[in-house]
Amino acid sequence: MSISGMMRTSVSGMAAQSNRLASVGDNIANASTHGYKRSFVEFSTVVLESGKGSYQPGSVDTQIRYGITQQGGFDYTTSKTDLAVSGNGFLLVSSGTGNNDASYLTRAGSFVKDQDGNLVNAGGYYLLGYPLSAGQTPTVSANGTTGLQVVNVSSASLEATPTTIGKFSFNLPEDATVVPAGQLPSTNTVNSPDTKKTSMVVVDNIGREVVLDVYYAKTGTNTWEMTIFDASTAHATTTFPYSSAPLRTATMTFDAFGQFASVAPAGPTPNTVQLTVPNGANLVIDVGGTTELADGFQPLATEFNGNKPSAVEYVEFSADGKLYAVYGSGARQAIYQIPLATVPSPDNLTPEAGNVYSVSASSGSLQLGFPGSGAFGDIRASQLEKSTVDTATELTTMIESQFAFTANSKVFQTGGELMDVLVNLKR
Amino acid sequence: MSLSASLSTANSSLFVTGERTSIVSRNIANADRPFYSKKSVSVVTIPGAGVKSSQVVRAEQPVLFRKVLTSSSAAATQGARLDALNFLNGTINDVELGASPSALMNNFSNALQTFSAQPHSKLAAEAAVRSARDLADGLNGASKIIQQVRNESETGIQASVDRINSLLADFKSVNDTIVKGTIMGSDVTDYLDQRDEILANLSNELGIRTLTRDNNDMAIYTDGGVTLFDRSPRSVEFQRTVNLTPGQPGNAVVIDGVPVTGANATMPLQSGRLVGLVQARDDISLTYQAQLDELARVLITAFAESDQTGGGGPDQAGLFTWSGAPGVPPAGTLISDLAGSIRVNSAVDPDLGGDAVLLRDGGVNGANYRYNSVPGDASFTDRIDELIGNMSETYAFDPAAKLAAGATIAGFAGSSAAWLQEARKVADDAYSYQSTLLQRSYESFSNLTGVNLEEELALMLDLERSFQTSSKLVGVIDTMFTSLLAAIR
Repeated sequence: MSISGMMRTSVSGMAAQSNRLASVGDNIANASTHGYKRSFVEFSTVVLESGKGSYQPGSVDTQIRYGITQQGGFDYTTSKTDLAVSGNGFLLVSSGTGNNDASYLTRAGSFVKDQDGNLVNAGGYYLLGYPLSAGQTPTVSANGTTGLQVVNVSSASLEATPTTIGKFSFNLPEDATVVPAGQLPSTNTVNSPDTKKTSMVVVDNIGREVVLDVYYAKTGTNTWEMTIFDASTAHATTTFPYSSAPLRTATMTFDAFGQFASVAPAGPTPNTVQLTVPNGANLVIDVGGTTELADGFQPLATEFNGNKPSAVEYVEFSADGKLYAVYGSGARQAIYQIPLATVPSPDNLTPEAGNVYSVSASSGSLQLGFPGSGAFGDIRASQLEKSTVDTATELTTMIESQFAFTANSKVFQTGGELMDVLVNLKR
Repeated sequence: MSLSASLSTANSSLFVTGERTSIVSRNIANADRPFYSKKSVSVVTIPGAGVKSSQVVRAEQPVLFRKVLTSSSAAATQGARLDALNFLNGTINDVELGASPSALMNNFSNALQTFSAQPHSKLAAEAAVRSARDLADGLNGASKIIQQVRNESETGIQASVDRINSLLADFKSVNDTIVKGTIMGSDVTDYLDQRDEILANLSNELGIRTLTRDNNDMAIYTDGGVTLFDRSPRSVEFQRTVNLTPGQPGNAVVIDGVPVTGANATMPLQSGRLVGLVQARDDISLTYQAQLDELARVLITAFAESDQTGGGGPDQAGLFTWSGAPGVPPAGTLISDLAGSIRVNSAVDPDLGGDAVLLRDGGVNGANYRYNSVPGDASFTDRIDELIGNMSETYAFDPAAKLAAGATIAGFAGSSAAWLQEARKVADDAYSYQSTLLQRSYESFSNLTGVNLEEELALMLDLERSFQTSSKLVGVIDTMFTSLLAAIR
């Protein structure tokens, strides 16, 4: 009987439109939720087999879709721990700080530090990353979360880095008097008035600043001797003699144009001198910029790495997903590598509360990689991904749905009236 | 594209305009502060999402700034020299007033002439002795002034060193803030201005060179190449002597273990107030002191008495005496602080119970040294004439006085005064030249980096227009949403 079939069909149409309106409602409600991907409804027909001369109305079936792969715009924020992903990847988060807590994928990156120093987002999920110890690349299992830990930024506390490399060059006055062999600073006896003295500051293994005195003495045409002493061993009043031998004595030669030619003994590479900082590391100083021109004794470049013990001032992310702890002294140290994850069919991920998605059978299995590699995309710090909802589009969809719903109800009403007529045929 | 997106773009424009306005107001508020540099915001496009301000930048002119620093050091050197020379000029005073050693010398010479014309007059004798005493007092006073200048310079050096140390400590905290701020990407431009101001103050005290390194870190070296600041301030030390020994140079200033002033300086400072003060203390004052000492020495020698018995006794100090009396100071050799200790012999000074007539007769050192053998013989002027002759004789002077090696007493006194005047004139010229140079270089520096109010006003109008347009846009989008919502019944 087609009339009852028609009524059934219109009911399915109304049900389908109310589903659509429900999705619109959800979208409008989440129009400002960072990392939210809009949901939408797709319809498909259900066809019943019709006999010859009679039409059997089918119904409409509703498919809920999520536009998870759709890229949202970016909001700029002032928090350095806000993250957005530009590309196909997802951030990996965990529902708790324990090892057995389930991990999820998310694009909502408004992370803040909780009371234990863990980075947690607005949905209450904890950011996962590979801990990095000095200079190591983490081992990544491409399809699992093994080795991932909740990112904790409180563990990085005081840190000191010994000086290992530096650059130190001066202009040595070409017209300087040649210092007699017996009065050279390297003999550690007397400070000849013709030597030039300066000093450099380096950092030892435990973060103390060590002052090294540097003497330049001309030993002949185009040759100078560079002598480095530990300043703390200097004689209290006369400077010379130092109580310990020079840390390094090197002879520099210059060419006819006053440019640096060579240094002997050279360090591991040409143009460098090597010495061991007292209680410190092996220090390689690049002296290749030293010149012997007709000008006064003046500094050209003095730069050293290493820093005194200092606390972490803040943490920041780089585009390749490394989390750096930035110390008060300006040193940066990578403490975590944030991975990005994706699945073969991201649109089929299962949405869960808190802007997260879980891997489902239809989405395919998890794949892990680093930002900037493959199709994972980049991490953008101090940015958040905006909701993909456009209010105007949703409102028009709503109007359209309203019309469709009304039309279906009219079909139902017509069916009902016809049934009324039919029933009234018998008196 | 979509309404929500255009709303957030308009929003970003409003935000950036607000930020730029805050910079404009900062510029206007600081417009007349020295070393405040003009700030501006660099605005970048966010692809597809409007604009954002990336950072605050300041107008910089490193080359001109370096010029300001060097001319400020040079002007400070000359300023300190000029101050000291002006003070020393007090020993000469106005030539008309007759207070200079040279004028006192003339007075004394005239008094001797008068006495020679009236050898019997006790009054003339006493007048001559009194003008001799004025001369000795004048030399003593001048010596005191020199000592005062030296002690004040010494205090000035101490103050300058203290100031350098405190500036370096300030520099460390500002520099640390800049380095940290640069790493964190925060706005450090005001600290950079503050650092420039510290450098300008520092360059007033001593000549400096700077090196800028990663993260805006800065190292300071003196113009002689000694490290002043590299990560941490180096020690600037000076042992102050409360009362300097006359004729002896004072202590050297030591930076980072290297003496930078005085004869033993291995890497001497070239400019700055410190250099001017050390020159005032050691070079100018010591030379002038040597000139006065030589004048005093020659005076004592000229008025010395010789043995009249033929017994071959040594020459002894006569009218003028000194701490080494009764002998006379050795010829041609500088004796420190002689000008400060020269006195008129009390045996001749009538005010101290002496007999002024001994000037005519001799015999200050006993009967053997008496020229006029008959006591009270009032008509012998030989001794007075001999003394007058001695005064116009040519004497050898120590080269430390930096004047002609041989000259008469009056000539030497005159050229000493001329030397001082000349040095003062040279310093005055150099000072006005250097301070004009400083003024000019500061002017061109601040013309390029300072705040131009007209420019700020024009920018303000631009910003106002942009803000108005953006808010208009927000209004339009609002109207569009309203009409869309009105469509839903």
